[in-house]
Amino acid sequence: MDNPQKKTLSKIVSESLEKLAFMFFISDSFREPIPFQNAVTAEVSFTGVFSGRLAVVMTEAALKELTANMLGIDSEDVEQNHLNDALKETANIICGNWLPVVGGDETVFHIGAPEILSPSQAATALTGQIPSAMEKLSADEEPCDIYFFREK
Amino acid sequence: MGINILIVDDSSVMRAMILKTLRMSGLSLGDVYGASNGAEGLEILGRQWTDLVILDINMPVMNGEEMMIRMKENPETRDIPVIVVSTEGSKPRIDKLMKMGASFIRKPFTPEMIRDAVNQSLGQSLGQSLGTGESHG
Repeated sequence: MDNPQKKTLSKIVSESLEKLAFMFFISDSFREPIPFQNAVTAEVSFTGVFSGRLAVVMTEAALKELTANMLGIDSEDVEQNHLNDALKETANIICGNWLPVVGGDETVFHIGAPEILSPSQAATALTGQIPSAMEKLSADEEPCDIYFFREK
Repeated sequence: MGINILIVDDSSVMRAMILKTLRMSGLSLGDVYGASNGAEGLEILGRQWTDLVILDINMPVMNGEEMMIRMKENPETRDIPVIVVSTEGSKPRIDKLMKMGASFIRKPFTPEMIRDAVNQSLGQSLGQSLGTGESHG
């Protein structure tokens, strides 16, 4: 992926998370990707002039903060189903804002229902092929990775 | 008297977030109802007085576009203002929804965006009612 597109992906993710949860993520390209066994992963697929999928990987600590901020509650009060729902919605929002950038805003895409992947499913789905784009971000040392695969 | 609002979104977190945003927006709220798909939303509209619908598009069972079509077909619900709050980014689909009379807000949103859209939608709705002598509900 060329640098301007990588910057745009980073900007979309940062702006989305800031508006959703008042969390300020910045690009953190030099760290290692988050190990899937220590993270929660949500993936959303889409079809249209081309198809593909986008995944968001977050540590549980980052996800708990994201969810608490989205809901306006204390992180101790966050329930497990809230965590999954918040990450799925986050993946959906990032994908919905990213597709007009890569496909053009006149293009219609059908975005599927986001899913939570287990660590082993995430490892298979996200490392089995080279992503078209991958961005690593962090907010107060809490990391978030984005994988984007453009398929047919 | 506060505004009665129906929030239709399959994500419980997003419904809670929209409610939080409405409260932060300084709007005078009455009853706020939640539904996880268009079919549930129509069922609530059939039994509860609602001033405004905030509607997601991509949902299971019945999506937001289908719910809007059904609302427009029903004289009891066709004049209720609808604000679509969605991740939808394609201009053709947004244009189609706006032609059906909806306002549109792209997720993620700010409290100001919600407040302004609610005020604008209810202002237009009131203007239409005064102009035609009709009310909705």
